[in-house]
Amino acid sequence: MISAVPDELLHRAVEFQKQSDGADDTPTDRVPSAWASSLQAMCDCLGSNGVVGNVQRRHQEDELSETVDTRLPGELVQLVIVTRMLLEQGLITDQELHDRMTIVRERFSRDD
Amino acid sequence: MSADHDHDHTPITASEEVSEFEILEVALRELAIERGLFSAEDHRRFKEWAESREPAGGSRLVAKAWVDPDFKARLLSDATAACPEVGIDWNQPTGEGTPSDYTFFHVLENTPEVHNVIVCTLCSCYPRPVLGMSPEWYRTPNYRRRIVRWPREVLAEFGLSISPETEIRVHDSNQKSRFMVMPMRPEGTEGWTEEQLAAIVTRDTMIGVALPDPNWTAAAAPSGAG
Amino acid sequence: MSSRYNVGDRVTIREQFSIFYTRTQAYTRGRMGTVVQQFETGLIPEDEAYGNEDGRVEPFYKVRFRQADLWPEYSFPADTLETEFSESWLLPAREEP
Repeated sequence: MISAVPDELLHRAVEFQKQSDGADDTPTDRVPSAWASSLQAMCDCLGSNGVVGNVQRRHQEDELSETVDTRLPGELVQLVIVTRMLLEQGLITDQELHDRMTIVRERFSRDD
Repeated sequence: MSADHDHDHTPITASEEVSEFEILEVALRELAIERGLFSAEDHRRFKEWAESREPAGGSRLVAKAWVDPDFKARLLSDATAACPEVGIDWNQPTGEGTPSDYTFFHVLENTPEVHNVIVCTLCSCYPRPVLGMSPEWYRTPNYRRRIVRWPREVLAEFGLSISPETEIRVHDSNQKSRFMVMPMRPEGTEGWTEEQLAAIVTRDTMIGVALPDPNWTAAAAPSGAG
Repeated sequence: MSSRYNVGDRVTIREQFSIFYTRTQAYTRGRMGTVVQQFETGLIPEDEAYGNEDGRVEPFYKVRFRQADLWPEYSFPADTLETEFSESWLLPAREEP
């Protein structure tokens, strides 16, 4: 069963992207999100330790990109896929993700 | 972002969407580290290394090869071994490279007869130690599928037109070898220093979708930009 | 390790159906090219992907194809494409009579 957290965020990102889709369809050189390098480092670690293989992950990223009818930022697709792959392997659970995101969200929004 | 934000029903805004993914990345990473899938230190090292890679490394290789024929010969013969001469080490950060870059690096020399261009149709492999992070367009199926099938069309979309007599040689890095293009030194650069030469060797010229221009540096912004 | 092919040899890429993981692109299967370089021997990707550390070790070769031999109606005869194969994906080419 595909879990809710990455798919919910994916759905919302697709909806958002469609709202702002312009006529220009050429791939541009957008600036990656600030967390893109952290995510790439996580994929390097997981690949290095044999937990999530690079090529398999990239295949799934390609498949996902092809199923959505709008262009999503590459790191967004990468994050959704690596999340799914860890969930599918049972290394983390959806509930744990939900709970941890709540904690992180509160931490980020805390006023000093 | 306020603590009582209702994340199921509020309208989507750009900053909120970015923020939610950022939160997912942090949450995922923390859980993965707690599960022992990797260490926080390893993650930090990979991240620091990736953030410090930039096309300037590749530019230095090309500029040095342009002014020093012996270095050029070494670079073409064993690029991995020649890289430390400009401060690049393909064995970092693990001692054996990264799980996607490996250590088998080759430089492809453009000549009047041959124009090289790189791609990885399988998974967008890219010579990160010398060029940094790959541009988004390089990773799209659009580029990867079409550059092997219609290279001249794709290059024309980048504004590059190659004469029909010149061989366009596409390199699909499907195994562990990694490639970078050494463009030809353009006219009008006689007497330039290595630093001046490196400035016109932009990332796109080392992928093979552009040619160096004495009037255009990597730091330049097109007029009207910004 | 001795290698079967030399630079300059004409080779054909096997047509073998692979249900398991492979790095040999569909667009090269059954095509004829020329060996232009031999690379380091290593674990073949089919074994390495499954963590089979005792898997098959083979020489790797870079093969150059004429684009006109890869794609129908490719109209620039000079153009080529190069990519890499482990030895067991290659057969000696049988030239057309």
